[in-house]
Amino acid sequence: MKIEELRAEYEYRYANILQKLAYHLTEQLKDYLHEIPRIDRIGARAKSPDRFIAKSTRAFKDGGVKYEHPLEQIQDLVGARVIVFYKQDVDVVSDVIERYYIPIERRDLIPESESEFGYFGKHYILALPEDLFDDNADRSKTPTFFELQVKTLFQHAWSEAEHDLAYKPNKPLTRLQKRQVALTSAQAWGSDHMFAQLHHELNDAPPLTV
Amino acid sequence: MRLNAQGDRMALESIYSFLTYPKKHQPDEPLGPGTEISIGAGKLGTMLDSIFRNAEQDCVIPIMFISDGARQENPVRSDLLALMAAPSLVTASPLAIRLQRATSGTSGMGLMFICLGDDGGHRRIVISRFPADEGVVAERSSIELTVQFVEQVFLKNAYSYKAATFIAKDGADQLWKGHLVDRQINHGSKAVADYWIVDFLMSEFATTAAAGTKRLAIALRDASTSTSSLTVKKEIAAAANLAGNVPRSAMTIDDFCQQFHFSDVTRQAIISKVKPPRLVNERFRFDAKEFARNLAYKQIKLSNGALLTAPADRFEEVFNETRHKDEHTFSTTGAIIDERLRRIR
Repeated sequence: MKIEELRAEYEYRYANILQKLAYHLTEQLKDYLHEIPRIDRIGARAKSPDRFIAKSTRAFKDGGVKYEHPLEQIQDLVGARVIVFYKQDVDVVSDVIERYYIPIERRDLIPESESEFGYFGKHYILALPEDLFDDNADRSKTPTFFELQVKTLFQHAWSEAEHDLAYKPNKPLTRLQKRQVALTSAQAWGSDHMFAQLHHELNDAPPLTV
Repeated sequence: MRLNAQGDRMALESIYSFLTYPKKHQPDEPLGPGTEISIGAGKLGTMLDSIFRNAEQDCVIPIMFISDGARQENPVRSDLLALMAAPSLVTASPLAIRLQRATSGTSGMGLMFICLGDDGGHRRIVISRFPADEGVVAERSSIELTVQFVEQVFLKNAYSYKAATFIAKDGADQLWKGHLVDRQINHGSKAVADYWIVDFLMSEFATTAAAGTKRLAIALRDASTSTSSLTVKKEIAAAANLAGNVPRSAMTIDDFCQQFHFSDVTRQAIISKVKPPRLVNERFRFDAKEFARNLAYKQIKLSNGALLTAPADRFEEVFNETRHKDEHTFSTTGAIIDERLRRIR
């Protein structure tokens, strides 16, 4: 499929399928999680056509094509986020999520080295449940999976700001700027740990194990 | 040219067969030799071709491969992908070994067929298993009749035939979902369902226990609140009280209605609340805790003998409560639609 055809097909799906799907998924997540306290926000979005095209044309380091069938292979055409107050709440939300959705991937994203600071968050690739598709939906055009991120307020705030600042095309960060970004991640991490400890001491929440 | 239900071309290309023994919890033994069966070879070929062509209609229970970790991996799925990439007796045999390791003595020996072919331009695999049975063969020649008792007879029996089908519609890397049929599930045997779905295929129903049970409970609740029929309300309330004892067995919403012998009017009232309607027949494992969470009745007994009952999620709405020290006053207003005397322990 040529890039123009791919864009046209995705724009059709984005307008007619994915945005509605994201809306219904948000409602479903809110329903499943409505009894869980200390959730700051729940939301889902369909990947924008520009971001889809950028991702679908991405190549491996050796130049090989990463996605031969991007409409089917990219698993975060619909992405959802649940933002919670404290680290312990990530586990509470995750338990509910795994009761209602089937994961094919579950990852705690942390920097590789213990002395490194960067992105933190819990990511899932989950099967989209049948409830979200009408009987007459064209299933040849609907995705099978969606991505769900469960993060604390600090993790979310850091990743949003970092995404805005650190991904400037043709303007790589200087060494100092990289250190500054890492420092903000360390501060967010430290704040999460302090709040988790206070949540344990003042609200009788379980202690943080990691 | 053979066509499937959608009018697409279908072509069975390879058939592999293995005799599998019950080896669950037993030391690993090498798999016996399998065989490749020629396409269209007599009645056997015709029967297998029919299984392949009808798999989409036969296998109606959606399942998903389980992957527990950071990598998107499921061993059975990996075996299917390897078989699709290079079909041969060698690449088919890991599936037979898995079936053997998952089979207990109760299920016994089985004859396994793995059919691979084209379905409207996509790769389809159909795995079927026929249990071993015993029988009598009578052969008549011109001068005598010979009667023999034989073991290892395999029948396409409506009550014991199992099959699973997987189609790589959106490319092989999307092969996460499949469909199966297990006639024994329909006869209420949870153990057999687990052996076929969980132990052998390392899968689960595509609808989780919590999601399916919540869908059922919400349909019952909506049916009860939206009807003026006393019969419907009574039948649903009775089922809600008894459902805590239902085991964690596989069922559909329709199965639940039958299990509680709902009248036609109640069944229709419930089915009309299932959205989308096709999910009335979606299979899930019943979860009593989830059911109670979504369809519970809150009951309060007061020291003066009064017993107050209302749906848990609407209790505060139904009863207006005021409190003075330890004394609670409840008030409510409504038309009387039922009145009864009940013996209470």
